[in-house]
Amino acid sequence: MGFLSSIDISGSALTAQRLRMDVISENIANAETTMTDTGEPYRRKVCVMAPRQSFSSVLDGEMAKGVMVTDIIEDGSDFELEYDPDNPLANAEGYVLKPNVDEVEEIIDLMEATRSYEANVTALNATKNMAAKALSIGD
Amino acid sequence: MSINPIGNAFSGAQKAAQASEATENQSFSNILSEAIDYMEETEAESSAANEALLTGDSDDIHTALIASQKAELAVSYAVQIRNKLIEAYNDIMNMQV
Repeated sequence: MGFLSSIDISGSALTAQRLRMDVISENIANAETTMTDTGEPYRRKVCVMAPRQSFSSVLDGEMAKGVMVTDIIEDGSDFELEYDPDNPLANAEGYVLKPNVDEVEEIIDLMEATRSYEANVTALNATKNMAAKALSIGD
Repeated sequence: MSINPIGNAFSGAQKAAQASEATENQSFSNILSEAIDYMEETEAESSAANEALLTGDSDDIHTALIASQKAELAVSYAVQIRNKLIEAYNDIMNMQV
């Protein structure tokens, strides 16, 4: 039924923000990882979000319903350098490559994701209250 | 005088009933049965979502809660339809003949 599909829009946003939280948590957890399988330090990951469209709705020309995370890409910026000549991973000049994760930026992204999650929960509750109120027509 | 077989009168009434059923396929009973079907569907979805959350298949708490809210709304909807149906029935039964 159509009136409950608008709840799905908020539901998709909640899922997307949860996934973004997971990515942010991984960035924060790996902020000091100097060596990964690829031989490089950990690279910061970023979520790419786009409006969600199912294939059948594209054929019908309907507008997008909700949001989805299309890709988790790696941030291409340079690694940080830390001067530590005694470290076994130090290069010729004595610098160790550290991940390009800025904890302050990650914490701010975390607050943004939390507020966005709360806003979507508010929207979902408002939609549900609207539907419940409509059922009391004629009482 | 010719006596028409009784089947003719009966088949005429049958055709009239079928025609009226085809035109009013949105009768109260159809709407109520659709509402009950939708209620069953959302309830099954809600059970599946809750089970997935509890067994660890799904990480999202909100999916299970949204499914239960939808089921609750579907139940309210079916109950309201039933109330209106019973009200209409009582109105007609209380008519003085």
